[in-house]
Amino acid sequence: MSADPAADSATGRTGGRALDRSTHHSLSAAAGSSLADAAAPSSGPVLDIRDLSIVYRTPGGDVRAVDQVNLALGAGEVVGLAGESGSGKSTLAYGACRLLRAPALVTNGSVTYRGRRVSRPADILKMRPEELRRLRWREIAIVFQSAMNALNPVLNVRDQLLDVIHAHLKMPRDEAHSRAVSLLDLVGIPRSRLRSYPHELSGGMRQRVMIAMALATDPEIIIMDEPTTALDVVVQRDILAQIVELKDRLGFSILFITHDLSLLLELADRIAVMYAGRFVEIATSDEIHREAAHPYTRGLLNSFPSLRGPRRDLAGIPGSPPDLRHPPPGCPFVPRCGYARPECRDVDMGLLPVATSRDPDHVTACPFVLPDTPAPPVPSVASGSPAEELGL
Amino acid sequence: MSEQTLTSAAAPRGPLAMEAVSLSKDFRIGRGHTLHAVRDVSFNLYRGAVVALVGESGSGKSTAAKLLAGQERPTSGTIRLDGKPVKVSSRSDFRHYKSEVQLVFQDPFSSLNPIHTVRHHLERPVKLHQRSVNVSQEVVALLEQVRLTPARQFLPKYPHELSGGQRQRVSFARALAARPSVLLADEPVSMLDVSIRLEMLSLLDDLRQRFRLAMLYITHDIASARYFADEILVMYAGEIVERGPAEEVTQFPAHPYTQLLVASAPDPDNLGSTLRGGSRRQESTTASGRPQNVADTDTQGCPFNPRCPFADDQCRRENPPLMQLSATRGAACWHLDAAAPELVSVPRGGEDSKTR
Repeated sequence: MSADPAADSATGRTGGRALDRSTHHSLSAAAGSSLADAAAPSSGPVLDIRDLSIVYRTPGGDVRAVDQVNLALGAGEVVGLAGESGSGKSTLAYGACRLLRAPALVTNGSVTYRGRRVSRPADILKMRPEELRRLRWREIAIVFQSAMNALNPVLNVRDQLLDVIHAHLKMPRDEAHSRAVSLLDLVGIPRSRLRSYPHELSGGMRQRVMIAMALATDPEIIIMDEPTTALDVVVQRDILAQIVELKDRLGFSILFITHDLSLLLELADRIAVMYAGRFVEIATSDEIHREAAHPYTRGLLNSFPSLRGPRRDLAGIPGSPPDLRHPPPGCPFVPRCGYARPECRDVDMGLLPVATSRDPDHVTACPFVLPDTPAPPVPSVASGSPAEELGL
Repeated sequence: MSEQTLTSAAAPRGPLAMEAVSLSKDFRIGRGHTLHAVRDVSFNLYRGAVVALVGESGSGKSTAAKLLAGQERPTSGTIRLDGKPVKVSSRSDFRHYKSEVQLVFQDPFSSLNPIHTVRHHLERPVKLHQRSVNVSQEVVALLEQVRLTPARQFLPKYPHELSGGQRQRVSFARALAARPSVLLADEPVSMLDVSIRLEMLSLLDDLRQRFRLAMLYITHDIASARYFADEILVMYAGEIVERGPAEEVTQFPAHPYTQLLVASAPDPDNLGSTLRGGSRRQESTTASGRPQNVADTDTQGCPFNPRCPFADDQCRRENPPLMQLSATRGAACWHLDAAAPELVSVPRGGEDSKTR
């Protein structure tokens, strides 16, 4: 199981994923061997993030926004990145595509891209500008959170789409036009809207235009950064169902960023839960739903009111994330954790397989809490949060 | 209107504070088109109770809030505050009205002025609405009420120095500065992280109790309305299509649109209806499709009929009134016997009014 990253390129797109994932998610090499018998899916990761660290240089010191993170995105896979604002999930995704500028700085790691259209794997972090230009949008497209701000207010939908098509594909005008039309069909916007400006569209339609733009170049990977957060549930469900359908039809992979874990449970194949720049738990959606191990994941799961079934006591997560300029020693979740104990200050935040889990790829950063650990007494939500009361 | 005979599920909480009677608001949108943003909407707000207005974007729920807040004038209908019809004819009238009725906006990032400190945001309404108080003491008290403590530490801060949750707390404090009796909260938590939404809702709940606020909670998240509100009003295309006690409406939705809303909420406990592998969606009996362009609602009939699985000729011809299902519950649908047989076949009496 000593899979060298380079070996994957030799085996092409088959068989590599299990190897990668084993070396990936556990920082300790020893743990890797126990993961060897994971069923190997038929494709290798299209995006392979290793040991990625990103800091924001500020006068008050470096903010360690992403710290030693490993993540693989398989072909056709939907991986969810869950976490609160400021947990580093967007920084991770944008950093991996080299979309961050100063004061953000990638200090460590590699991001290997293996697409069907590229002859050999390449490290995005080492690409030259012209290589990056070929990669961006053609291979990795992004659906941004705020569709109102991401669309150009003075271009109509058609010109917006043509702009993308002409920038990234060599295509005659009339062909580009018919492509724009078929893209709108694909995302369910009537052709009569071709000449509409962004302000004339509803939020859902704008988000659909964003998705059409992302699909314009038939990319291998689409990063979706909270694409439905501003939308209401009916439209959200509609758009997500459409995304899944398009993914099945066109075969791209999705890195889906959201703070809404309930959404990921329904949508994603695998979920990586991020806290204070680190992954705290990675597992399949089913495992996260049924056997969440890390206290933070449990907190997220207990944060949304359920519509069905009996009314249950909701806890939420009191307090706010730590200041990443001066991260606390050990586990960064300690101040908000109901399970916290003195040893937590020595935890190295390496991801370890969950001993009781049937899924060998289910890893957690908490060595003390297992899925069957009983929950600590729930503090009343009404009592405020001690950490927040300490100020910023 | 038949809905006038319904008792609000929020009524037992406290005295009547505000009434919206047959409110309508039309917007002219060029070339002779009219957008009926709010159509014949009536409801009551009671001190110490939460009424939730639930619906998708464009359903008119924010316009309804703006009408109540005095930001828009209704095309027809009346708003009564403490039993008196609201007439805003002078500045002092308007100021008095504003001090009674306050609005909290969805987006704490754009509703606070980036060039002013927290102190400025709170001092202004205190000076404006409360003549005879110690301003700085009052501002500190406001911050403590929304649990931004130690207050002195937050006073000199600018909005960009605060987290989303802290900013929304400042918005709450600003609304409370006028010592209102009615708080209109337009999606107060939907821009916030899921993990802090609960905390904010419980803060709102705490403020409701402490100041006996009559609260209108506008949201598209019907699950949060279940936990937070006494009564739920479901809006579609400017009309109230269903109303009733929060628990009943969410557990046994009667109107096909409410059923769609409930079915659309993410539900990890029912992974059978999961989005993964899209084709596995099993929603044969629920409505689907996209919201109609509300601008084109000069059409006759039930506004929901193009998306409704139960629609027939009658639905396309006539708009159904709110049919009473119980003392506190009603739904505007011609085919409740098909959409919600279990609610119609069993005659329901007054026992529903004391569900909470």
